[in-house]
Amino acid sequence: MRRSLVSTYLILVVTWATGCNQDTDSATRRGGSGDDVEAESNAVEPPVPDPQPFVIKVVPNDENPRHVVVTVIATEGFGRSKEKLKAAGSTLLSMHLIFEGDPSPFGTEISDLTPLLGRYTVEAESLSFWPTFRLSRGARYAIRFNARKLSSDPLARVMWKEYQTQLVIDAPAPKIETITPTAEVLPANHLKFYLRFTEPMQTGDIWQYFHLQNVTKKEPVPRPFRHTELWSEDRRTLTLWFHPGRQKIGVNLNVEVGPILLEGNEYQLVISGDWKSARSVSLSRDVTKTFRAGPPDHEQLFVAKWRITAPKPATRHALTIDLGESLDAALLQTEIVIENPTGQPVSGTISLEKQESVWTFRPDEPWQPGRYQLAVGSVLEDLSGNSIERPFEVDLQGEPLKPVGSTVRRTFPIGVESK
Amino acid sequence: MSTKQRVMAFSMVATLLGGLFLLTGDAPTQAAPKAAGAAKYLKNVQTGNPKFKTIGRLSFGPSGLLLVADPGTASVVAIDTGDTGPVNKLKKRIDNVEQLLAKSIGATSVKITDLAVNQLSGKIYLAVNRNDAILTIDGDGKVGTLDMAKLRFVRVTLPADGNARVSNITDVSFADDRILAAGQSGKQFSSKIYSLPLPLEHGASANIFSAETYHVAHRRWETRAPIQSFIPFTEDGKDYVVGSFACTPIAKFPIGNLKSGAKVKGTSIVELGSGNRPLDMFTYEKDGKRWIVTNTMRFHKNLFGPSKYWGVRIESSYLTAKKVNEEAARRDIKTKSGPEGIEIVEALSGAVQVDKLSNTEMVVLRDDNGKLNLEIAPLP
Repeated sequence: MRRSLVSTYLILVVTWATGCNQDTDSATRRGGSGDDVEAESNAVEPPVPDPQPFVIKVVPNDENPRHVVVTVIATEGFGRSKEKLKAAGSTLLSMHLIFEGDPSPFGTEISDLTPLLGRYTVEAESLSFWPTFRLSRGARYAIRFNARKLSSDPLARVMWKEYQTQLVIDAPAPKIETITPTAEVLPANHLKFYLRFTEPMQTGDIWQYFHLQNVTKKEPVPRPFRHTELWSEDRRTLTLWFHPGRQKIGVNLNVEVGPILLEGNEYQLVISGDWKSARSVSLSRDVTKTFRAGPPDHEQLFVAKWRITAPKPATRHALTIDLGESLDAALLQTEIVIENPTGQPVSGTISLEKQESVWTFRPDEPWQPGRYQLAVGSVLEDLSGNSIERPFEVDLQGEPLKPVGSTVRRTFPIGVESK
Repeated sequence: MSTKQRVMAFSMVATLLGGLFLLTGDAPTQAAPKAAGAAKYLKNVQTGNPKFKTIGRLSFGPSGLLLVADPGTASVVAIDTGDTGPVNKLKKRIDNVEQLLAKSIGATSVKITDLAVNQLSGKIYLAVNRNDAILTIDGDGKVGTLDMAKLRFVRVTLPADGNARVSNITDVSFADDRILAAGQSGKQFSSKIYSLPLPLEHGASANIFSAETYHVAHRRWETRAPIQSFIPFTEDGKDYVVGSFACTPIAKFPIGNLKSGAKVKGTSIVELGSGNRPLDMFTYEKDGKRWIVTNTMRFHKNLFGPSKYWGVRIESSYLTAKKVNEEAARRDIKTKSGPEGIEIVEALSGAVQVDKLSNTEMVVLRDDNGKLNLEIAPLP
């Protein structure tokens, strides 16, 4: 009678509070192995006392079900002060990851188990364990409560309960929105890719998810990437670098291991579908970018060579600059500024066209007649790292570099005659 | 139902409700560290959760001052841990330490991304591939965690270089009068050194220098090769950063009186051999000599052992050598030692991470066929 009443209250409370969480929550393992030799060697199951003096409950957080609290409720009281109960918390109640490949923790001596980190709280008739970290998705946990520590009753046992978190979450898989450069032919001394994701990805051990295949030779390219994770501020764009030491002529890695790309060969950059987002949802399918290696590019950039098509005044038509070659997509977003005839920056929208070889700018306000200027950061570079400031590879024996300053300016007229 | 039974049922419901309202998921596990000696290095100290976006490189200063790189917010966080000893160093090697950490936090896998040892306590601090935890291992091998909710800390943001925001902080270190950091941007890969004056003030900014280095192996000046790891160094009252680079030149950069934004030219002093990626760096003293220790990962087959991870020690007199750049000393890559004062350290074979515990011992995270063991090893 009393037992059924208690159960009813518990089910009501848990269901109401968690919004019917869907995690698998198996029943208490009654008669699970005890933690003393006598109990384990006794083949006869001791009778389960009625009512059960202790009940173990796992309550997931409403907003994040992987944060849980494990509570033991003593239906007849613990018979200990709150302070004593809290101090003994870890010897009474613990939670353990059921690790793949390990023997089952159920019935294992506590000294052989690694407990989850967490803290303990004590309320009137309950002892709670709060794991510090959220649980893993789709993982199984063993919860152990040693009632024997509280009672000299020979029927007091070590109680075990299994808890499993939900594997699938109701969310779309992450995607790679763009891979730049978008060109299908890249210089043989190409340096970097930008991968834009729909959401932040798991970090820390990402290189296993990248692969470069030489399609022409039907073989993988060994160790092509620089193992340095470079993420944007919003954690959604990764800069993926080919190893610069292998892309420079005469550098030891280039000489000893060889260059990454061979002119004329076709390659496939593969990003594994196993890579998971920060929310632990995988890309689900491999993403590839196929390209051919063209001639290497060692030329410094010159703004004077760009072809500017100026719009008419009093319109908001786009200004177009033909850059003559594909340049670094990220730097093109920040390193070219249009200044109005009074030298103030013009606000507007940048777009990149024709495989990042054309830069267009649509102003927020109509163009005024006058002499505008391009102000270009000299760090702007092409796909091979040649910038306005310097070519990627500087020959110390050659002509000294001409200093260009941090910004290069070029005037262009709108609605007035050029000088 | 008796009155007693009703009271009991009510109390259980109340308990559960109380627990549910408290359920925040940020349950701390360790008492907050109290203010300690490190307070003198900090100004405008914050108390609470630093809310790391990423936890990158870790490094210890004096008095339990823990430096944490947060490349996600392009900043350095200094934490007054209150962990000031006494020393209780790791008693027994921990095999497969990443599995132990995984089990302790309830995750199916964990990867250690950096390690730092507090020399005052011997406690080992670990950054792992999650952004809400700095784990600790004490002398008994027990895993713990910094209670993020109650930290005493300051945060200093590293300035962008023009439009180029810092994307990666490759190392951070305490010098006598400042904190130093090295980094690079995602777009340009250019190498930067940051100087953060002490006391470190929450909300302050740092000075930034562009680093250019002569790379001995390919006889070129480099602006892009990032400093992988470094140590502060003082010579004749002048301050330097001594950094190691991929393809392992070790170079020193004068940083004493530079203005923010200045370009600083490094002098290559030792070349350890091509095809290596340096990982960690520290100095120690023995028999009146000062040594620099660095462990690296080799791209090709290692000539001196099965592991691609290996380490070397260099006598500090090389830092003041007259022969530099093209004439800089080059390690004899075919032998275990040479020229004099440059020696392979056997105890660093397989060392993926390393930090100094004392002048006689170091903590090594060692690769053992793909599994990592944590142990204390003697310094030569």
